[in-house]
Amino acid sequence: MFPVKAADGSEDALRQVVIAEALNGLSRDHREVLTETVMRRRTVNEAADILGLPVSIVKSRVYYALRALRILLEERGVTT
Amino acid sequence: MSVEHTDVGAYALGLLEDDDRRAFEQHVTGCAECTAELHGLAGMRALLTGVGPVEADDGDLPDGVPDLLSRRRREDRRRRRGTLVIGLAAGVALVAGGVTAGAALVSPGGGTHQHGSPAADVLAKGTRHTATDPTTHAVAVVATRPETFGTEVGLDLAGVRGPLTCRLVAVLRSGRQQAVTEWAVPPKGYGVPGSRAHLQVHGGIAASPGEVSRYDVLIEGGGRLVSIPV
Ligand SMILES: [Zn+2]
Repeated sequence: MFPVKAADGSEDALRQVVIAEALNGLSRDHREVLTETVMRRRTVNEAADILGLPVSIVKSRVYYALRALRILLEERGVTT
Repeated sequence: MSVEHTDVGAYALGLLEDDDRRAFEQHVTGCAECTAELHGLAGMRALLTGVGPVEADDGDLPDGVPDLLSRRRREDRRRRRGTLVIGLAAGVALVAGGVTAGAALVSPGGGTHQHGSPAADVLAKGTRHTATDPTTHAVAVVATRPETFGTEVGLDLAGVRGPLTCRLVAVLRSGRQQAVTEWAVPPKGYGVPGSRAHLQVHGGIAASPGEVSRYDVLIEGGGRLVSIPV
C-alpha cells in the first residue's frame, strides 16, 4: 500500500517523518487546510466552518494542497 | 450546489459530504480529466490516513526515529534553499512504486479555457489584469472578484518551463503579503512550444480587492516569475 520501507523496519516512524517533512514544506494555507480536514477527520464543510471560509475555497485549496504535497513527496523519493 | 473539477481532491480523500459526493460521482463518470486525476490522487488517501496534525515548524519527531535521520532532516532543510530536488537521507531505502505525479488541471488541447473550473469562472467574469515579464517571458492574467470573505482570485499563466514550484501572493498596499495559492510546473511547462495549454489556478485572500496593490508569482527557492499590478 504505502511505498516507503525503512531498512530497519521502522516503517511507521519513517512514514511519519517523511510526511511531516513534506507537510512542513507546504504554504501555511495548504498545511492548514489539510490539517483541518483529512488529519482531523473533518469533511470540507466542517473545516469551512472552522476556518471561516466558503466550502468552495476549502475544496479548491485541498486540491492544490494535494498537488503541492505530491511534488514535495516526490522530491523525497515517494511516489503515490 | 455545483460541481467543480477541483472537487476531485476532496473526493479522493473522502472529505465530501453525501450530497456533494454523489454529485461528484455523477460528474466523474463523464469527465476524463477527473477520472485521470482520481487515479493520480488515489494513493494520497492511503498516505495521509492516520497521519495526525503536524507542527508548523521543527516539531518533535515521533518516538523511535533514529537521531541520524533527524540530523539529516535538518541538513536537508538547509540544503533545500536554492535547490528544488533533494534526495532522502542515505541509509534509508525507499521503494518507489506506482503512478507518478504531475497531472495538471489544464485544457488538453491548449488555449486558456477550462469550462466549469473555478479559475476559468473568475477569469471569465472577474476584473482582469495582465502582465508580461521582460526577463522571464512569463505571461500572466489575474482576475479578481470581491467576495464576502475578501477576494476570489484566478490566474492564467503561460510562457513558463519547469520544473518549478510557484506561489501566487497578493501584495497589499500596507506592504503585507497574503498567499493565494501554490502549484508545481512540470518540466514541459505551460503555454510554450510543445506544451500549449496554459496553467490556471484559483484561490482566495482575506483582503478586499481595493487593498491589493499587485500580485506576484514567486518561485520557490527565490526569484519572481512575473508581477501583475492591479
Ligand atoms: Zn471533471
